[in-house]
Amino acid sequence: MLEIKPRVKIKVSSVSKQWSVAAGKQGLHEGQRFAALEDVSLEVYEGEFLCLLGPSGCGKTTLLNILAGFERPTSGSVLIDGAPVEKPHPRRITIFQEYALLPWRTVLGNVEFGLEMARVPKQQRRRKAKELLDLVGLTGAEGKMTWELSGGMRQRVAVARSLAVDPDVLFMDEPFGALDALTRIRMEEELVRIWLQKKKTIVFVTHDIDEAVYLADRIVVFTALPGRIREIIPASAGRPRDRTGFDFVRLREKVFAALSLGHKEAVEYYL
Amino acid sequence: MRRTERLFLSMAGFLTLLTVWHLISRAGIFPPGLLPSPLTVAAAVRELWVRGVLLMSIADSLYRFTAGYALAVFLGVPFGLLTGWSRRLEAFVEPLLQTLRPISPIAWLPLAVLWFGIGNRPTIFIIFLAAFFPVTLSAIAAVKSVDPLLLRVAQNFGATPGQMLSKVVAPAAFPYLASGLHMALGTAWVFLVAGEMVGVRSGLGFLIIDGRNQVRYDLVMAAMVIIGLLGLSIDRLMRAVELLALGRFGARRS
Repeated sequence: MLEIKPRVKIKVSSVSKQWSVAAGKQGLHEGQRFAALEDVSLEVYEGEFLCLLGPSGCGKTTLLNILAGFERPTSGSVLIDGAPVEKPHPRRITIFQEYALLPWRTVLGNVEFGLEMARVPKQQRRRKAKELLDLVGLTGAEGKMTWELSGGMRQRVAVARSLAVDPDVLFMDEPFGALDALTRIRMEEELVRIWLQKKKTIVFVTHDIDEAVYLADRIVVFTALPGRIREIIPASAGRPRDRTGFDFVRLREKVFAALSLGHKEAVEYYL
Repeated sequence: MRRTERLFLSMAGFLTLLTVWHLISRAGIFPPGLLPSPLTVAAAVRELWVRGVLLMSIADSLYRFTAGYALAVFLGVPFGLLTGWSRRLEAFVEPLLQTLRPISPIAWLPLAVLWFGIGNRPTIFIIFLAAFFPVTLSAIAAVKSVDPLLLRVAQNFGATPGQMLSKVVAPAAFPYLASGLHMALGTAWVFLVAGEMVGVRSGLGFLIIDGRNQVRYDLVMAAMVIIGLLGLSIDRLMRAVELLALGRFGARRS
């Protein structure tokens, strides 16, 4: 069978990040350095849904912040569309767990924010924002203040705000981490629906195995201290995925095996 | 606590103060005339009203106060926001502010009269000084209270420094700033009397000086009572405006 090689959108080459310990941190000497990320290399394909999965402290958020341009790597390089990442850019929007909405603006005002920064004329802004509120299922909530909304609805606003500027890449840092289990499942379904429709490249950080298995085209499994890539697991299951189906469960088992140390043989058996 | 209960308790508080005041003035601890009773003071307030001095004094004082305070807000808020935003500017300005701030506005009085002459301007200047430092310092602190995540979002969407300051920092800092402005209002009001001790021949502060010169301590205390009650009204008014604005700026979130 002929395989079409996907275009590389993001190229991560030997990225390492070290932190120096600040004064007063318990159990560590001041100035002591530790590696948050060590020699991480990775390619993210255009239009791909990639999940970074691992325990807390494995550096997955640090990697995301480096990809997004909020932080610089200690060594190594990140290229997006062949150009090195030096700072955040509106073509690549990050969505945070804490929503980071502007509480003094209405829902509509929040969705318009990015367009306003880009000096898009008001009428056009309004039209685009309404279109995206429809897409995320918030039709009719335009005039609400953000504190009137539930967590899930707030994150929908953040997604609409991000998509309004029509970025190529979405970086998502545990965006559903603060939601209850049922809302979370619904949000994951919605995200896949939107992604299938908009075909953005998504890099999604999570520590929830089921979430990664449901969402990802490929799952990058990290180990902690120092943060390294342990394994990249391709997910062949189709979409939308059936959380109780055989493919889902098998993929889930692979991820479990990759995460639990000392079961390397079992993983190789699966692969 | 219910509204009526709160109202009742605050009335009881006032009544207690009046009673204690009345009893002390009747007990003859101080020579008569040096501590007039509440009734005498009420008569003095009436006298000021009948002479047409009361409303004029209040109007003059409020005008000077508003001018001085507004000037402090219009200069102090942008200045403080900029200073809180730029580490360099803060390093440059902050020690100066902390040096000038402990100097009581009253200390500027002799110079203020020389610089601004007789009239409203020295008083406005004193009130400006009294409000400027707390306003500026609270604006600096307000910028630092802004959620860094919001700054990241703005940066991500490509906000220019100007957009960052006007569209994110200023509104995000507002709830914190509002309480700073509220406190500065009270502080500035305290300096009204000092500000009206020289250079002017009207206003509530002047009434106190004038009462003393006439050896009319009932008039002195009448002016004190008016200053106190007006201070209370201003505080309550500001609180209402603040609550309204906080709702608008989303400080009531979750």
